[in-house]
Amino acid sequence: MDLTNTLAPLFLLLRPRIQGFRNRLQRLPETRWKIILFVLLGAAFWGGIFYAFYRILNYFSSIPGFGEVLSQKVLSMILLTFFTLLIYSHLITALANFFLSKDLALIHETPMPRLILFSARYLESWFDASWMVLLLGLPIFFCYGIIFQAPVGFYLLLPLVFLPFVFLAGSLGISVTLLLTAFFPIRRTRDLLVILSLILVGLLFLIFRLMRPEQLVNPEQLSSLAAYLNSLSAQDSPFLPSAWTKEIFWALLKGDFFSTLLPLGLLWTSAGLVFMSNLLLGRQFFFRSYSQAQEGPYKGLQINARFDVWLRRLLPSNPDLQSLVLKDLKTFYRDKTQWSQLFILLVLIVVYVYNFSVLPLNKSPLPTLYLKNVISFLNLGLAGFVLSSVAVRFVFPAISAEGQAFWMIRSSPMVLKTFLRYKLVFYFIPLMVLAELLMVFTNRQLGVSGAMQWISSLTMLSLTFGLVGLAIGLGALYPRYSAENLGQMATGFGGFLYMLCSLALIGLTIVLEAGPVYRMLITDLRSTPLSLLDRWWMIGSFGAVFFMHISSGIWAMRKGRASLEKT
Amino acid sequence: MISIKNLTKQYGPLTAVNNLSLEVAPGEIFGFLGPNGAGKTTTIKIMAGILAPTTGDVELCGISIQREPSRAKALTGYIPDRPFLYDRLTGLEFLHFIAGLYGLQPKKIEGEIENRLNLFDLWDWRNELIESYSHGMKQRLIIISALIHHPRVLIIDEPMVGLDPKGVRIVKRLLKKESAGGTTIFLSTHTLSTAQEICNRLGIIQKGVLIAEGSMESFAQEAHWKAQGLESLFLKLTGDLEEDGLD
Repeated sequence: MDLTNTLAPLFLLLRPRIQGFRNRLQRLPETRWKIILFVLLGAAFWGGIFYAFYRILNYFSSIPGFGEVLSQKVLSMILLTFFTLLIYSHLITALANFFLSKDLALIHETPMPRLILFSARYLESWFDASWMVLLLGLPIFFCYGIIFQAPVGFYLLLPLVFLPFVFLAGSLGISVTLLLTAFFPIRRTRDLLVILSLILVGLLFLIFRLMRPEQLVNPEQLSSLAAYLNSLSAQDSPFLPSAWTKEIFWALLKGDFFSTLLPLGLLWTSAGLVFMSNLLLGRQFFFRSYSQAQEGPYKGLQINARFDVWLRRLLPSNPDLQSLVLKDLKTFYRDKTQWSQLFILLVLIVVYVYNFSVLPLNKSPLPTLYLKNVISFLNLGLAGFVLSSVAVRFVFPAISAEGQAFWMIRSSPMVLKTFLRYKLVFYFIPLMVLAELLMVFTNRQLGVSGAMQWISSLTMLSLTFGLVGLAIGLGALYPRYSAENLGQMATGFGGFLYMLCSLALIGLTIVLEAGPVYRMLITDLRSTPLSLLDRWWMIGSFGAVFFMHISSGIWAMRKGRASLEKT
Repeated sequence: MISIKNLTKQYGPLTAVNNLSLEVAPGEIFGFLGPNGAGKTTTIKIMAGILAPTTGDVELCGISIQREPSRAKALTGYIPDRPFLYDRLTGLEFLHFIAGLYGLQPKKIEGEIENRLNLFDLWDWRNELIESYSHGMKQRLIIISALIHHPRVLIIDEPMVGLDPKGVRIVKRLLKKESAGGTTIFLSTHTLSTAQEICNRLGIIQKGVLIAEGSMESFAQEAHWKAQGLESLFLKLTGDLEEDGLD
């Protein structure tokens, strides 16, 4: 088979995606606006990363004696993180692209050779899983180039380094997916996601152990300066492709092109070798695993009938609400993909809470109690962000998840207002518990004052209402009934808009409360009573925050309901 | 033309298709009947090459779908019961895409596409996105896409789902015409009147096993069903006559 005969069908398989995108652009005017918004925000994000990293690297590189070694260590960490992220994102993307996409049956029934379909899906997985990392990496790499005054060759040759780097990481991720799906009973594909999530957690720990970040911030723990410098300049494992990449990158940065030849050769040949192995794996397992993926019904976890009866007794007596709660609980309980994602989120939250216990607040020149309260206040914003991340993943898809079965609700005597209110309560309770636990635990770790604890808890309570209301309302306004999974439902324009709105809500909360909280802390520090003006200011600000949270939740719910009623 | 040889498909402990063997001659319309969950769609998916059998094989025009899938599929058209279509493509773009998958040049099939789209009343809709099509229109588009490369074997799972009376009539006439032109048609349906009207031979599958097979005439001789209709014979053979709950 010559190259043209291989490439033509390969590009034909990519055509629906490209043509579909073009059609959306031409026929759906709102798509253009969405893209412009995406590009603008993407550019702002890109600029932000560039600015922040430039300052950090500038600071590191300017430390006499350590500058270059520290910068190299940071680069090693970044490359290792990217490498691991790329492996994981390819694991997940390949699973969807190779075995779960809805259009696979259509293409498998045609004479298109399976290896070409495999290659097309390989290419799509590679694109889907790496564009974000590449976009994130570019400003960082440019910062290195600018700060270390790299020659033009550095910028020209960067693609030659990162193409095989990304391809190798991606291919390794795809290899794992192919092997897992070949040897696991794939009709339980969703179980696999749980395993993959556990792998992610394992990888996260592994990265942190490989990085030993404590050495960067806590040099005094090492016996001497020489030992610190030694540990920083220690070579990374020679088996890590990220270490080869770092070596090439640094040599290019210094204009030493000759030294790049060996590691560059190693990187390219490894990428080629893993790709060839994947082709063999694909030839052997691709169709077999795809066929297995369609087999048999998935029963999920069983719920004991007695548990069912017990649960009914706990619920309100309305049969319609009982049915909805039981349906939602069972659906969640039996969907292991939900569990895996929840598990990852919980791990991240535990890490988040743990970080508060290791904050070196006592070393600060500022009064400890003042600093602790300021951090506790800022923690409101961070906790709000954690909450909105949980909400976009679990609450935003609440309406879309009804999917093709939504007609049952619509044709039942239940009015939409009751249905949406039920969804609000169903998600508000667990999220409120999570938010309050977060606040209580982090405040206890910090040891903040009683007043600050009350402010945090009450603000979180109304903020949770606002965030959940926004998620339900915008989820109803931008439903994605045909999305393949819950994760996908949250990744569209609606999910993006929700994140923007929730960030704005959190930001405004911080802005409105910052003044009175500052006044309160200062008077506390000086042991003077609050003036009448301060008291009115506090009432006004906290009242405005409460009103804003409740009204934004209700507004979004109304908008969502109006939109659902029209369709 | 179609040769199913000792086909077995197991889903864990469940045997969906059990040692099924069947021959369908060139130009024949074979009706594949059976109650829900009998193994019809599993058999059809294996024939279409989108599901691997546990044991056994299927030959289409003498070519094994297992050993030479691309060659066998090039001669086959498949109409699934729940088809997937790319919502963001237009009807015409979708047909060009499918034609490409079968190695056909767009210019050579322009006339063919126009004829088929006109036949199925979709010509005026050719440049509209598929997401705006009704269920019946999507079904008609899928039928066109399965015929575009002039298959020698047509495998159809529930062809009439969602079609209006005119669409049903067009499909029936089209299948008869294709059959007369030498195309072998393997048709799974629950619409017994359709089977009775257009099929030359029937096979009834239950719990993965072929429990009855023969020409329409042999069925008539055996069970005198013409007097009572195919439905009575089908229910008798599959043992589904009891409907106590309705009495």
